[in-house]
Amino acid sequence: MTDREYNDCVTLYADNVYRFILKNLRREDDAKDVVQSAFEKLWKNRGSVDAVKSKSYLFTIAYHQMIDLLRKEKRIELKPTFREEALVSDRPVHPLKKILESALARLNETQRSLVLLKDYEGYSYLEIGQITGLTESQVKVYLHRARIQLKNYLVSLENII
Amino acid sequence: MITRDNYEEFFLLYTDNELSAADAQAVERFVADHPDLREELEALLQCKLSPDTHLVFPDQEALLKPEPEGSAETGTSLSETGAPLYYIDGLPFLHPDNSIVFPDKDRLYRSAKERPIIPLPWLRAGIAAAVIAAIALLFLLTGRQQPERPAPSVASRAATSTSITAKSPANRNVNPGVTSTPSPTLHLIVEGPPGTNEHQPVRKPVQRRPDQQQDLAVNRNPDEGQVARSTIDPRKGMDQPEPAVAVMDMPVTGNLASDVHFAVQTGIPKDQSSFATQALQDEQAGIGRESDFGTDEPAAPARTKLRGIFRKVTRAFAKTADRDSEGNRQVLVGAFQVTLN
Repeated sequence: MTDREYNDCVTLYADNVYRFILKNLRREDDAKDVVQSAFEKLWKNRGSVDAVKSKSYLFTIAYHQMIDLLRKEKRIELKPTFREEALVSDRPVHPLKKILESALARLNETQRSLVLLKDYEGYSYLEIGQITGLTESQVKVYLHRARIQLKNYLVSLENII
Repeated sequence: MITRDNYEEFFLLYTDNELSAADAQAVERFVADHPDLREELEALLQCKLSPDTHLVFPDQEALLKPEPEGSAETGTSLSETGAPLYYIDGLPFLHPDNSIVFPDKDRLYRSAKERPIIPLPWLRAGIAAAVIAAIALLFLLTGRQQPERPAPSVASRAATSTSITAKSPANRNVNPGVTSTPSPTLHLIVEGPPGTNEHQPVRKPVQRRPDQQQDLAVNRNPDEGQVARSTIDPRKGMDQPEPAVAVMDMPVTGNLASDVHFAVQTGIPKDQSSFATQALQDEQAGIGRESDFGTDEPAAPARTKLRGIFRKVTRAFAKTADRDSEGNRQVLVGAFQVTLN
């Protein structure tokens, strides 16, 4: 990967990686740190990373760093001391989208990541498996369970309303 | 084939866009045929998330890296051309100057063949040195004596006569168990053949009982004309003293408490006598001196030249009772004191 290709990666994929991480962590500062760390690693290893696979490389690095961060938070058991504005504030969006955001928050980390990688980035089961370290069949099963869980939440909420 | 039993999996795959175009059309036809299942498919499609395009990475400029100027001119980066790039804080600034080489590179090479170092403790080294020194001294002394052996010297003949005297029947009569008697008498008679200038010193210590302190005639080969006679009893004096024979009666003090008689031919001047004769005379004189000191050492037959060599070697490598500050034993090698670890 050349320096120019690296800069192209920044232009093309920085927002995607940031979005993916922010939706999982729901904290802007942590999401920024993860994205910066992922691109720093890509810069250091640019000699061995093919430009074609740079996007999946970035998502892979960012995903594993995010998982490490979440596990660390579970051990430390952080209290919500972040500023309100630092949290992802739901801007005025469609009510259905808001319900989906809340339903997404109910999923576990793996299911949420699979849904985001599938819907946001359009990765195939095989590519998602390469990024997350799961097999293709595992991705398929986990993702289908997440879809059904989201649908059930959406249907049940509609019934209540 | 989509049925009511497996439609849910097809709907999920349709939602994930994992179906082929033909299968996707089959799902759409199945839903058209089964309108009651349409709501379920639409619910799954509503669960699909759309990316929030308003979310952008705020510090995207910070992630960008400056591209090398050279590559901007040529349109390719240095890494593509194969040249290495060196960065500090992300900025390329230095390229190696391959024209600078180390001038004395040959001096830095080391040969793989090295002499092995064998650890040798001090004690083993001392023992090895003592053995080597003893062997060397033995070689030197035997090397000096070897040239004299071919010549029929007086010493060799004297030794022969001594051996003959020792094996003579007269000596066999001497009871060896008598050595523990309280006052044995040692008689040594050396007598040369009459009419010849050569002397054949014979030193033969004989221990006798007191009641047998009489004439002890040691008959040698009569063909050679040599007669060894004893003039033995000091109380009676010497019988028939020969002019060419000097008899020395030397009482030996010590444990043996015996009388020793030395008879050495003295008719020959010392400067005209052979080396062996002089050596024998010197040795006998030395024995007499030691006897005068009254030492407790055993009788003369045990003193050989090898014994002297071993004594010198043991003196050279003496173990001292001193210990250094660390409590290690010390060995005295010549004038040097060596500590044993």
